[in-house]
Amino acid sequence: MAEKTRKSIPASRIFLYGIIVKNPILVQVVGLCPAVAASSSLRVAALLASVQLMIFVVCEILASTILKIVPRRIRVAVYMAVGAGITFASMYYLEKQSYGQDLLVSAGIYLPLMAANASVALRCEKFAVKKGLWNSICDAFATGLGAAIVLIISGLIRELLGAGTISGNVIFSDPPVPAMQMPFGGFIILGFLAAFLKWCISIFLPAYNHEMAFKIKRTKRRRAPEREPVKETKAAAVNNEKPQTPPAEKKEEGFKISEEALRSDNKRPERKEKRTKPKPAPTPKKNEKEERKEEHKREGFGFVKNMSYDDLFDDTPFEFSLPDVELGDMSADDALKKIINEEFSQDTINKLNITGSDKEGDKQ
Amino acid sequence: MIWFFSMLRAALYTIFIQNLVFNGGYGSSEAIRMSAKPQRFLPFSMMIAFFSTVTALVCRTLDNFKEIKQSGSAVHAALYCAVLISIYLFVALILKLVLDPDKKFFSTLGIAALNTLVFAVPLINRNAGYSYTESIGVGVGSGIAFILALLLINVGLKRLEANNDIPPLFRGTPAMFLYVAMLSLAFNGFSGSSLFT
Repeated sequence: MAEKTRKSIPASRIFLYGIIVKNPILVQVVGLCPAVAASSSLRVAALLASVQLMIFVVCEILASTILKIVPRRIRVAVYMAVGAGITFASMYYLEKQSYGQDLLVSAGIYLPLMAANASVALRCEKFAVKKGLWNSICDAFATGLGAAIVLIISGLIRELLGAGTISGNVIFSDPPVPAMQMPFGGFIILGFLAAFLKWCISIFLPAYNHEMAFKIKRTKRRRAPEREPVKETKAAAVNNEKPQTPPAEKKEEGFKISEEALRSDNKRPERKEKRTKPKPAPTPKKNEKEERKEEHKREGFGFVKNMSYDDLFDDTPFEFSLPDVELGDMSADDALKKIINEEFSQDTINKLNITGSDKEGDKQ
Repeated sequence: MIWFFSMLRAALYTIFIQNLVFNGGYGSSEAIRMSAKPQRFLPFSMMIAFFSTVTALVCRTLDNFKEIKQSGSAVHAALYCAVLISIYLFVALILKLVLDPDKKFFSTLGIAALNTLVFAVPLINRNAGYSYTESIGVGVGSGIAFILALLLINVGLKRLEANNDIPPLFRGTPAMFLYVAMLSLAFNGFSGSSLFT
């Protein structure tokens, strides 16, 4: 934990993740309430975005400095209290202003609801509490901006289509689709924005494709792969070796593919293969439906398995750990070449934990 | 008997006519994320119903005080927020002392208590001028509305997963957003709204 706290992340990377790769609304699917319901006009969306940004900054600063010693169950309440303080101060200020009355009426009960925004608690718990002050401030601005951009774009489109105006200026005398002002319109806009973001990343930032969680994880637990623990454990005990554990399930799909390709190209010694990977039992022929399901999983469409609800606090992009790659006797240079051929960025390669030895026998 | 029907009417209105998740967007992120976890539907929804009912009752009681009744919307919202936080901390303390559950339970409890759906209930009650019995109806109804939303989204997720015709760019979250939009539109239809007029 202490090491994690000291470890600093470049600000550019935090901003890239907060705004694009792990956008809180479009990718992490948190803090939807203001985006789908409240941002029915540009001015209200801008108001909510600015309030949310303020809450992010103050909460993350507090979380990274003084709240680290407070138990988590109390911290969650503190975030809400801080959010409430900022929200109600801004409400009180707007009540006293002549121009603020209309805004308050338009925002309705959604402005006070910003105090209970889930995305603030998510970022504070998964990032600010574990990182330093500078990183937390950057993250607050990045995540706040990521949410603000979505809110403002959503507000702009919904006001234009739903009311025929932009910030009160009439564009269409007859609004094309009045229903866009309803939450239905908000969800529609978010759906198209999420697809657009996905397209942008696949075109301009292909290296980050595999890190995007454009999936909701399903909870159905997979059975652990069957093994023969008695024999293996006894044999290991005789040789003073640690018992073999089943291989961990790979999370990052893009990497999984590359790892398979890497293995298929590499001639690995059979002995090593036997030690590290127990042969799975022959599976019966799958029917068409099961095969389709498998295909969906491979393509990344399948909503990911094995996620607890606790994972509402488990989506931080900085917590990603790619699986270890056992390279056998392959040299480290060859491995890197293989990975580069799979079109992975340098950034991704740096994150890999590569175990094995090169030809000179040096551990990498 | 009148109080019972008054409560039932408010609950049914909250579940179907003004489904808080689909028509109001309250707690929609929790609903979407939670929909992938069928075995937790009931306990989570019960927690939401409990917190929203208790918060609604306490806030309704506070509204009887003259000074509070005459105050502005900012003061009301701040007070309701304080009530919600206090109830959450009180329940967490009691559970910690009596049952001492694990950290995951408290994490779930925090999410169930401190979300937009629960916080919206007393604010809606105040705006609509609901009585005590109606406030209880809205509180319980919000829990049932939430579980209805979870079931509908869960069924949709399964079907979206099995559908091979969705374009690759729309697979996953975009398709799910569009599906929830359709549900939201359907529930808006119950309340008499229309698409183009």
